[in-house]
Amino acid sequence: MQITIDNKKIKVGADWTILKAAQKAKIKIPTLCYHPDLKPSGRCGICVVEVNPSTGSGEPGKIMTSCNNLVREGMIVKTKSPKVLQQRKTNIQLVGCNFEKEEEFRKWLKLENLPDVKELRFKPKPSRKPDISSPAITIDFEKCILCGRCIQKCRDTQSVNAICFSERANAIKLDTSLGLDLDQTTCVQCGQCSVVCPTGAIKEHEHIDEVKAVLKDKTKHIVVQTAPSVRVAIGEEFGMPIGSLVTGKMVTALNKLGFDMVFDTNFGADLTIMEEANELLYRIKNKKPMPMFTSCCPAWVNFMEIFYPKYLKHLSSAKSPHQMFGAIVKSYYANKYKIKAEDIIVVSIMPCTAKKYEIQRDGMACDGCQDVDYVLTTRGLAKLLKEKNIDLKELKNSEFDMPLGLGSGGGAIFGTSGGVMESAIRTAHYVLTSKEIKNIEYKDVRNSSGIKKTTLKVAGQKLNLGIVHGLANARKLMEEIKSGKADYDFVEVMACPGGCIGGGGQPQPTTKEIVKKRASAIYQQDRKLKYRQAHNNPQIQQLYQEFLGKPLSKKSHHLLHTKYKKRSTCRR
Amino acid sequence: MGTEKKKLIIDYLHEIQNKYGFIPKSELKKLSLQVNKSPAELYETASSYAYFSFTKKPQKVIKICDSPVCHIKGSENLLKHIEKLIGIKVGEKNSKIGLETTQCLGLCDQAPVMEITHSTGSGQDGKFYTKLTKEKITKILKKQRLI
Amino acid sequence: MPNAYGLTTFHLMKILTKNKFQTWEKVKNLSSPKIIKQVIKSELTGKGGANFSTGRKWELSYPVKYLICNADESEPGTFKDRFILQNNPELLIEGINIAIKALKAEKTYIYLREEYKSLKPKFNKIIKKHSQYDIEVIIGAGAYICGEEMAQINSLEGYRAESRHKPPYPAQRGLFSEKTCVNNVETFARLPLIWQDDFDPKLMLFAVSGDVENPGIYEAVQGIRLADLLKEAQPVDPKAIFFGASGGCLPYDDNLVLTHENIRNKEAMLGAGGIIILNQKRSIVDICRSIIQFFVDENCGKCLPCREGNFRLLQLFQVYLKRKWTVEEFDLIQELIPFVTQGSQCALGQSSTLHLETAIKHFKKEFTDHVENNS
Repeated sequence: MQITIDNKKIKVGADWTILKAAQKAKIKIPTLCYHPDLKPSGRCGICVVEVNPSTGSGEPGKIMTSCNNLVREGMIVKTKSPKVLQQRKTNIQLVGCNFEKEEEFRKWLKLENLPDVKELRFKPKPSRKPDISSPAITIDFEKCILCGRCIQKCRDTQSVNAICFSERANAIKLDTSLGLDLDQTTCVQCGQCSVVCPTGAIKEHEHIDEVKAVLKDKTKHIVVQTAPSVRVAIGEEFGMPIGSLVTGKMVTALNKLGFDMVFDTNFGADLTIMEEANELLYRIKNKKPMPMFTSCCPAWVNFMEIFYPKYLKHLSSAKSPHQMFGAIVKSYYANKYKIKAEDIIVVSIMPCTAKKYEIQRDGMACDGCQDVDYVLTTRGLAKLLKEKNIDLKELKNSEFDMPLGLGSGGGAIFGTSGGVMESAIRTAHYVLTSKEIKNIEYKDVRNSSGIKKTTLKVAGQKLNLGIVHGLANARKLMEEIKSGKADYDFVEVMACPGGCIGGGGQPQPTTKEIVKKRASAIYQQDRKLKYRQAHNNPQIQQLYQEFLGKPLSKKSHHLLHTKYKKRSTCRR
Repeated sequence: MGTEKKKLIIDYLHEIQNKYGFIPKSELKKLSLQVNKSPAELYETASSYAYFSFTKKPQKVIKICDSPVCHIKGSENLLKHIEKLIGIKVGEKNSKIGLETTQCLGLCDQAPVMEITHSTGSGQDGKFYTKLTKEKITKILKKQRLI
Repeated sequence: MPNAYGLTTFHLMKILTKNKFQTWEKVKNLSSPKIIKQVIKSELTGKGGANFSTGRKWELSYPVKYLICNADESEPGTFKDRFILQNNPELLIEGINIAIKALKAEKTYIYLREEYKSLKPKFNKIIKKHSQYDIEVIIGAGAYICGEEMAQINSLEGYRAESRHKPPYPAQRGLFSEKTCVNNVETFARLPLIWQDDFDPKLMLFAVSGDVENPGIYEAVQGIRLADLLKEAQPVDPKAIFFGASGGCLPYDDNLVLTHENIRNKEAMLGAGGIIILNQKRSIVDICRSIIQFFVDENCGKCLPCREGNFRLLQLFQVYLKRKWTVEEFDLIQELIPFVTQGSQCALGQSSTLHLETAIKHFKKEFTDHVENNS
């Protein structure tokens, strides 16, 4: 099929939207509520174009949204006609009336690549108090422009349904389920809403002020750890290309902020694999109920506790990497370097909002000391750096501090969907056969489009593996398991699409395309690292020798494992 | 596969409102287990209809039509008259009585029109009063024991 | 419910008060294609406002899983469906029987607006006695938007009272993603008449209200002169005719020919035949205010241009109650008129400022009298 856009003739597919056709023709149409991973809704009306059915019809062009209208043979599209520009201008003026300050609105317009407007002619409408009940997510209703992206994510991508619209006509508003406080809904804190909100109406509890205050306290020993997903994404916040691996610069930046030690959560990930791979083999050997699910994703854990509490015994009892790491810092590290555990503050930089909830769970503390004290998201760290005028782009590289700064490739790949599984396979194979697996890069578990099933043959056994990301897919899988249709031995579940690299705390925008690029940076890093398996990490070996004994030992259980319980909401 | 006797969600919502006089949020939680939709989705649906209410409706609700035809026949003055008689303003309510404007009731040939709904044991029944005048309204409200 | 009065030669009433369900006795033995062919031949058109050939619509939809009778009549100034539902529901059910046979529909929903719910028990009685099909009456919940077919489908599916983008059309993927056909009450009611000798496809029901001596339902052929339609209704010193709230307005003209095409050529919409007559004393500006209020109350809230645009128009039309508009404010009103319709995703939004557009076009002085400096 052929259509004309701005006098350019282009070939299009029959099921293309006008917006897709324009994108392929490299013609920019401003959008607002449109998101490539979500169904177009036509709510905001910004993406309008003028359409004529064909030449010589003599009729005036029709204005329509381009995100959800399909192309037709011979269609003539104008993206910058006077009618279109006028429509968009009035539209933006009406969107803007919800912002508190005019400069904020103009800044936001620039961010969204929307044309500026000379004056805001419309007075703002009254709004309601912010919801700050949840430890991870805050909602400032005044900033909401009713684009609906957050609700689509929560409903369609995550099947959690903690937020919704309510009322109609002019009273329509973003609301929480049944109008309750967010922490009384089924919200699992995954933050997928916050990573698509164009105005920051829904965003994470930042905790930047708390971390700033703690950095000023000279009586404390302040340790920071960084998740594998942060180093492949934070560069985007400073204008670097998507998929830039900025580990060294990130460490320098954290040093500049004044942290006493800058450690690597990948070490914690290696530790998780040691415990979890051995736990899997233990469960298989002792014929425990299968499958076993990974437990490093706190939003997934919340999801299980709220929606599928009967299956909690299937969740691995291993804590998540940063939690294990915090527990080791406040025991092994504290002892070794003669620092009192109460004087150590652990800050985690995470791609995740749910971790802000996780750190205060019962059981995420040992001997009275919380494993991790604060969590900053990738966005949060970027904001803090910008406040301090630290331009990540310009920094030189530094190395992580030791002894807890060494991570293997198996730890690095935790950030992407399939990574935990692949790392577990590398170690489980060794434990079972005392030999390294031939294909270290077990590609069968990569590139899951949502739910992927594969089998692993090892030591005469056949293991059915599942790799799931996105909670709607997780729900699908759980329903399959419930109805007896599915037969898995080990399933990795990441709440966020693409895994942690697509996490709720990652830079905006985060789309499937962007996540793919971040993933390839993760796999590239794996290839470059000296040690590629968790069990070959010498610092991990040292930790077990000197302190833990062996995986699943009594000490390991005390520090590195946790319990779950049925709950109706995430409220404490 | 034939058509199952599927009960629609809007039916369930009517059932709940008929039973309790409004839709308690706890009932939406219960309903969500029955119909496999989350409480948020049911809440989103119910709140988009003018008829459903999440707070208890007063014993009697006066709904005066404010659509164009009733408007030109003087609905605004009649509304002010009612406000004076019952002592509450439009949009307000107490346990006994509520006053609302409503949109076209389909009785434009007998404008101006109002509906008085009252809560029975099994829902809200509405009675329509047409060709209203100030005197007629006073008479009706007296008869309904609202003034 | 109080009945309409002021009716005149009511064809629907006259013909079938005696012969209820006798046409069905004939038609039930015909094949679906034959029925559809007959309906096409009859030139019956849809009475919900679109005026599309009913037979052709059926031909394109056949066969369907769901049939929906749209009894959610909520357009201000329109009450013709109520008239049929109150006075001859048997005719409706008979028409539905015919439609079900023609379209091989497995299930039928009658979407009845909440305010008409007192009629439900009677319908169920008639259905039980005279129809062997699965027909269920569903009560609405006070949402004008649900009169639009996509919103009605959304409502039946348990979603918000909100419209949906087309395509897909109901005939492709409608209720519960199945093939669906939606028809208006009057359309169904006229079906049995097709098998009568004197069937006239041009007949439609007009609902006449406003400044007339005898408001009510009047049946006439499309193409009738306005003065002839209103002969018994007796307009009083008429100035303007509003076609419901969404059809816009025209200056009163005795010789106005009432066809969908003619009214469309004059940039208004005949729609479902709601005729509101305003006399010389009425303020056009004020009735526009009332219509804006209607759309502000009844829009679903999804699309920004409709939701915010109508709201801002209402604010401007409340201003005029206290003082004259500034020139900028009046310019803004005229700017918002096309703004609302362009970029709205459904027919409600797209027609919600037609009244204002036509009112300013035909009664400009009434508006400019309210503007400072009277430009």
